[in-house]
Amino acid sequence: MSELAILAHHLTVQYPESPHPVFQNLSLEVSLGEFVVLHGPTGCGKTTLLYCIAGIIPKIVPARIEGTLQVLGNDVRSFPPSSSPIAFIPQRIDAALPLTSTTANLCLLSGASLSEVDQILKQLGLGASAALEVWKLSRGKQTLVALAAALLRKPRLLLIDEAFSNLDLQSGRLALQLIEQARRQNTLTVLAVEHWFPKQLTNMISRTLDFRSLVRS
Amino acid sequence: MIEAQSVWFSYAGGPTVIRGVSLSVSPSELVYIEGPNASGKTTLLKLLAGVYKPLRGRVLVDGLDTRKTPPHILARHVAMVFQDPGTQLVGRTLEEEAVFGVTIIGLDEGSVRKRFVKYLRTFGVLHPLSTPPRRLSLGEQRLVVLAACLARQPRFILLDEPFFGLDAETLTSVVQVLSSQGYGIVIASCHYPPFSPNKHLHLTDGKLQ
Repeated sequence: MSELAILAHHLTVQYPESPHPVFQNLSLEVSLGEFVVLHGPTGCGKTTLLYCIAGIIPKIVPARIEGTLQVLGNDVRSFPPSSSPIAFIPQRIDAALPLTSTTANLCLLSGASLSEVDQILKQLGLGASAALEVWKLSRGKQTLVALAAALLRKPRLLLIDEAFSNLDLQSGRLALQLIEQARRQNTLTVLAVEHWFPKQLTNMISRTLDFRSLVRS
Repeated sequence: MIEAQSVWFSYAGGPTVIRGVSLSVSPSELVYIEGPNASGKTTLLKLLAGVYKPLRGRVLVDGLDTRKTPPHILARHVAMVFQDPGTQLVGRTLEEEAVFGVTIIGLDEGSVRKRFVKYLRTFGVLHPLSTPPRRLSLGEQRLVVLAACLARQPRFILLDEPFFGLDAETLTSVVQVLSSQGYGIVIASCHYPPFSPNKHLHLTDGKLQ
């Protein structure tokens, strides 16, 4: 059996103010190097699951977690956040990007050199946006900037919360090519939550999963 | 009817974003504007909603010129759900969200609240009205903002990139509900529609094809 990047077993999560768990008895296995796209109906708990895997729950957002959740071989509840090899692209990317130029954003967020930043911007077709403040870019371009920032950090696990809903086919293909390159170079594992993933690009991922199939009532 | 007549627009000091766009939307019509990233879709919707005013040309909403009509009057005719609905949430609870500002546009709070709850439940959002809307998922927030817009009974509803946070099945059923109730609908997205609109337009570099 291949080594696992994510192992969730009988996972139950409940927010303190809510009378019901977000989900119960969820089980998921993602192997190292896989690219898995997870879909499911609105409000079923996909973002909450990503928050758990990223360690945001329960360290930053309080919630009750029961069951097993191991990420890159560590229990998420004891994961050292300062040296986290996980990159997370949230739904609300504008909240994560400072009000500076695209280039400055990428340098600040990733610690990468200017030449590395220039190269990745060109690969994503964002060369002309390098000097523009990020908030002036369209939502789709902001998504590509967030992806560039995540990949420049050379993570071992990339978590994506709805990037492809905001990307047209051409931008989606560029994003996937860049992710593919990182997967080859760094044994990157990717878990993406998506409501909308272009059918034309499914040959560039390992598999898709329906969130409902992970939960046993 | 919404009519855009040779509309041009640019942001202060920036390049031209919308270039001579003309289009019309009738009540009960579903208009789908598809275009790549940064083609001007969001700007065009905001022009149709009266959020932005054309630099050249004009937009008429039920005969009202958006450059000359105050927002509280336009709000009775057209409403827009932004790409990130979180930027539109103002209430501490769903109940507050429902009735925020409705008296300013001359509506009765009780009737608006009733209609809000009806739409919310129709869309499958079953949380109690005491729930803080910011605790909901992005897709549920989109449905809350949409329900709040519809509770004000505009004639036209504009949806910016509604796939962001909503699965295609939910969006299709939402569109069916709106169409069956006679709303004029404009959807802007970078994706091919999963349903058949009355008009399917393509926006590239600020121009309609």
